[in-house]
Amino acid sequence: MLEVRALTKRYPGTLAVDQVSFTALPGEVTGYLGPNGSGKSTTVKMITGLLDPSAGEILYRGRPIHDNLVEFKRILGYVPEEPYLYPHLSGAEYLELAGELRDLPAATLPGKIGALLELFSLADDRHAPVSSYSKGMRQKILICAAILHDPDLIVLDEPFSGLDVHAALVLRSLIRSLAASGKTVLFSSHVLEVVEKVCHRVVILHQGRVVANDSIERLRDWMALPTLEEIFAQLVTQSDPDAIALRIAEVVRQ
Amino acid sequence: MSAPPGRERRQFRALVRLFAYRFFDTDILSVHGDLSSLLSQLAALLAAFSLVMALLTGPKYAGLYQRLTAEQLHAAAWADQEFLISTSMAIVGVFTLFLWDALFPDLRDCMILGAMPVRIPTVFAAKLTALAAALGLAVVAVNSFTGLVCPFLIVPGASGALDAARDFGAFWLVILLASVFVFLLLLGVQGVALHLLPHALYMRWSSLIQTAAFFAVLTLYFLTPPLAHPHALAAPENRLWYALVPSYWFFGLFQMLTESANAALIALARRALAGVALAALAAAGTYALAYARQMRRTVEQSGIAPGFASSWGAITPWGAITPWGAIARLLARRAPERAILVFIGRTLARSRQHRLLLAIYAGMGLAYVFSQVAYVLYHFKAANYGAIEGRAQTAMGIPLILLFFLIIGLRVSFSIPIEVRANWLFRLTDPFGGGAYLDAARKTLLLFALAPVVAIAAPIYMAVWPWPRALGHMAFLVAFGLLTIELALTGFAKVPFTCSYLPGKANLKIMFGVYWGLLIIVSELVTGVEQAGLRRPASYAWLMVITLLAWLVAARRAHWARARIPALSFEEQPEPALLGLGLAGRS
Repeated sequence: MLEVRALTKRYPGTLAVDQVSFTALPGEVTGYLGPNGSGKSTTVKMITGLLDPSAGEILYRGRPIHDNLVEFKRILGYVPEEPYLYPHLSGAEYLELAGELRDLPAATLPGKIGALLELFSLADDRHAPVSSYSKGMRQKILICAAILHDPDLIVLDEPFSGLDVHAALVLRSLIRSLAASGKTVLFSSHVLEVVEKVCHRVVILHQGRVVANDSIERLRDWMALPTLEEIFAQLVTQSDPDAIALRIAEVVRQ
Repeated sequence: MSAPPGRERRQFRALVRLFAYRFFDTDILSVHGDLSSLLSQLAALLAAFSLVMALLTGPKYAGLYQRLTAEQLHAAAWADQEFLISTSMAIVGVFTLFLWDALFPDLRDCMILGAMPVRIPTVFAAKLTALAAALGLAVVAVNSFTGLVCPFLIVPGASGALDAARDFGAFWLVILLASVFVFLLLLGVQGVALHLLPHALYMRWSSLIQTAAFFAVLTLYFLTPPLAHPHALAAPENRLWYALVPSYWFFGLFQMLTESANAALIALARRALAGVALAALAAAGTYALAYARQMRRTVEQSGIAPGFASSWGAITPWGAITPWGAIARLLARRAPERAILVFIGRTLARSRQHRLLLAIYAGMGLAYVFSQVAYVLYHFKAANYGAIEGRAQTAMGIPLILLFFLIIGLRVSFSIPIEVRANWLFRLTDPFGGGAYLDAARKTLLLFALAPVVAIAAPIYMAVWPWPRALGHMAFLVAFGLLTIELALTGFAKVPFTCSYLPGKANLKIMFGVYWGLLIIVSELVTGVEQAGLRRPASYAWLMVITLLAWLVAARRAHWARARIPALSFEEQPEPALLGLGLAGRS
């Protein structure tokens, strides 16, 4: 179980994350939602140990992750929001690097990498440099690297970015099956339709604070709204999207 | 709980391999690019330099050029010892500064490695090992011939196998310690800057510190007086030089290791050892401590929206009217040309990589100027007529050489992309029509190379020379600049900074030879002809007419060449293995 307690991150002049608390349970997919700049990625970076919190605590299986961050990272799989990859490596070489850094058995690593690349339709491009990959191909490599070591906790920050329809369907199913096998999945995304289909519960963030934290069904009942999109709009949208769209069209015509 | 040693060793090996490649920015490479060919060419250049040095140094000890007296040989040996040590130090300095941005992890490293179960000390050790290996290879390459030949020649009085072994060991030990000293000193400089400056300020000033250090290394190397001489060592007025210039400390160390009993040299040797110890302490205390903090700060900074200070080419809250934008409006009437001009200016103002490249080329020009100035300063007596003539010619050549290298540097920097994947904007908008790309590139060279050199040189020449001579020289400088700009842009079919880079396409050995040849032509031939011309008005008029005619022809050729270019290039292609003669289809 991943537990976030009163997590806060301050930058000079900015409070990016303010007293955020939630729990992500094993066997469940927890959606982490919020508009741009709401503090989602900052929270994710703190959970993955990339950033130090200004205050608050992150616990995994009841122990603060900062007690032994290296050991915590051994059971963590992470797909970052931006496709950070080394462009001079091929897809297979990148996965090999990730496998070596995670100390996966050298005997089985090439077979595992080959199988993952095959399943993600990257086998033909396995020796091409990442710099020549499309956005979707890079995203697939990031997903492979995140699950290569069979992690217990999986943090996905916009994992559907750039994926084609088939790959998106595969990933959606993969997320469900990972959770079904008892893993804890934290899923941060803007794509509310996918979140609605995949997540058991959602945490909605607005201006660095949690404004909703419950199962989607309970939120629907409680707010008397039929879809997650409408719930989200009700909680975090401050201006009328249609009116803004009209104004944009006017500016373009000028 | 610490990780098992086997796991850490495996991580360490993987990271060393990774970092060794990360020293070169591979984001900019063409998909056809081969980094290994570029690296082997660089290594071959350094080795070739070493071979030339060995050939210049060795024969005089065998009496091949001339018979030297024992005293002359002694003085030559000291000068050669100091030269070889200071050259290695300068090359390590330049190489370390070239890797400046790779000394600490960048955002990509932090984001990828930060989420991995790797301890920061392992990352740090791997980075340091990769750096040491890269620098070690550079040091070995630059001493590959001199290090095998010179130790047996440059120690006067050495005889027998034991002495030869001692001198060989002493040479390599001193070269190693001197290189380590420079490397650690520069690491310490960066570490101190990181500790003293707030992260945002460090990111802004880092490239300035890097450029300043680069020029400091060159200045120290070329303008240090040649004092490795027994008489100079005894002169009290030289004590300050010996105390301040590190290459003399290591020269003293070499002397001490090869059994010199001179107290002054032993004092220098002690200073060398103390220098290495202090540099190691400074690097350990600043670089090592800053490493972990830098990883955190790099990730934190990525979460804060970047901003530019309101300055040259900066974004201002009130829109597009910036000083650079206003200049571009004045210089370019067509919108596509203006857009490219603004893009070039902003790229040069904000891209560390391109600024460093320009600094390297300006540094090459300065290095040659410094070496000439040092030669005139230290090798001619003031009353000597040759010295006066030499000084006049050197003074005349300075702006010409700097202008030449600035133009070449800018032209080369145009070939290095800023973000290849973003070039779709130019591909879609096609700035080829009307030659907007070429006009913008030409105006950039005029504005960033010719204009500043003329603006700095003109008042200086007007102050120190009679004004007709100064004006004549300035007029020739402008004509020469216009001609060089046209020649530099011959066949140029790119929007600057947008085409992927193909390493190894230009043969570095040939290019180096071409630049060197052009440098000699500029510094000797052109300045010699101009100097003669300035003494006779008729000759000067001919010189100007020929230069301006050459410029007009080059400009016309560039115009015709543009008409023959089918499209702008955005992806550098390798040369075909077979060249067709293009005869097919012609009747």
